[in-house]
Amino acid sequence: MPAECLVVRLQHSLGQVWLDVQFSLRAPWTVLFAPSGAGKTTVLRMIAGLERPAKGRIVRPDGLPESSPTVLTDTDRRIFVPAHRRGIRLVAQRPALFPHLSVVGNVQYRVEPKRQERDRFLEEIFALCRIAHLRDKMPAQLSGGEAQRVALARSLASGGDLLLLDEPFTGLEAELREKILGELRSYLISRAIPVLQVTHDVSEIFSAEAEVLRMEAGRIVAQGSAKVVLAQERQALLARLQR
Amino acid sequence: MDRQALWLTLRLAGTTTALLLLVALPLAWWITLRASLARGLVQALVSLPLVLPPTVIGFYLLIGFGPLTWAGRLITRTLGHPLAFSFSGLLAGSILYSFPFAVQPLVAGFKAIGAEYSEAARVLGASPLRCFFDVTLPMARAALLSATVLTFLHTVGEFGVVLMLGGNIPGVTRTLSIAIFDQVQDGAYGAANRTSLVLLCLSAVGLLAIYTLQPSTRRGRPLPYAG
Repeated sequence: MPAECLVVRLQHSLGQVWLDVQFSLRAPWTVLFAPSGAGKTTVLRMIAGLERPAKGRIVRPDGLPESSPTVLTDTDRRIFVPAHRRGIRLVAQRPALFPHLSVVGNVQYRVEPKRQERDRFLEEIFALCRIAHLRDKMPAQLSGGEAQRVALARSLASGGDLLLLDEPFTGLEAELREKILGELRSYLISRAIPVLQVTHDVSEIFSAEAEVLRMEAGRIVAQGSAKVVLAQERQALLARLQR
Repeated sequence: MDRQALWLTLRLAGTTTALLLLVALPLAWWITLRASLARGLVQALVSLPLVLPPTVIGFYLLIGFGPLTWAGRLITRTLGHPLAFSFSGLLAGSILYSFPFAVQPLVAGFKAIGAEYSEAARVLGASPLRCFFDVTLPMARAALLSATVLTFLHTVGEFGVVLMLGGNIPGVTRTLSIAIFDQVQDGAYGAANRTSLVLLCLSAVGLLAIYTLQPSTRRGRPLPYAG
């Protein structure tokens, strides 16, 4: 992976909060940590190309597949690459599974057709997300956690070279979440796919061994290892576990 | 039973429905993409036949397709005959008159689908067109069924526009609803009753289809995926 795989500078009004963030992704797994309503989801949506910032620039430095555009958003130069051409996958908070397709239909919706050994590839993803037993079910028959895992599988199957996760593990049992997170991390690192995850759950961050971007009042106030950036939260978490 | 009128009515309704859906699908999709003055204006225009008396539409089309307007003269020159009092003219009138019955259910159906589904498809790499055919249209199947049945039945039951624009030419412009009018004028109540019964049954079956064939995604039946 290159030293920087994504450089982001965004300014945007979110009602009472003025979003003014600037950061770059350098680690295989980065977590954007902020309280609810701080604009985390908006940042992810702008990176994915689902929203336009009032002002800003999103760039993917060289080193990525040539098919992907380098400048994704640049308000000064009026550049805005549409979401479907960014090569960025987003697993949103609401899974939005296509209700007319079964689980397997959802997962293989945009599976890369040229990919060799497609079936084995899909089986690997089904196993990773723990959804093999759900393959013939319809989305309406799934629980919230199951639907989230299917949404994650659907994004993994569709390729992409950057994965954005918007609190996709909310509602999952802690043990299952740990297992999936661990395997997901190995899977993505082996394929050189960096992750930007949004969460307000401290335990998830330590499970993923992630670099942390701490966001407060619409700004990035710290970037670094979780142990340093979230030292206070870590102490509180340890104290809670020891009780 | 006027079999010629029955065949003509079914041909008119079938052709109108097929042509209208081709126009209504992209138009309804465009209307629901976002709110704007232009979209509101188009929607109001499309809905006009809902509130206008059919004779008014028939009158304007009769004049518009005739030799008094440049459009009418151009059509006559191109086709070699005027549109009025022909099947093609009837078809054009039916398309305009049934426009809201095709567009409105589709607009309602597309609007009912949350934006998160098309966004999910887009961030998976699907272009807007693929997104429409793979996600939006299948999710709006109920609306598509309603639009198809309502357009077909509305065209079958058309009277004012047909009479004004098509006259009453057997085999060319005489539809079942005109035939009933004729039969009643002639005092042939038995024949009028039989023809009316055909229209009643057709309408009942169509509405039954709307209310019983609603697609369900809760049955646990995996739908075939054409990926």
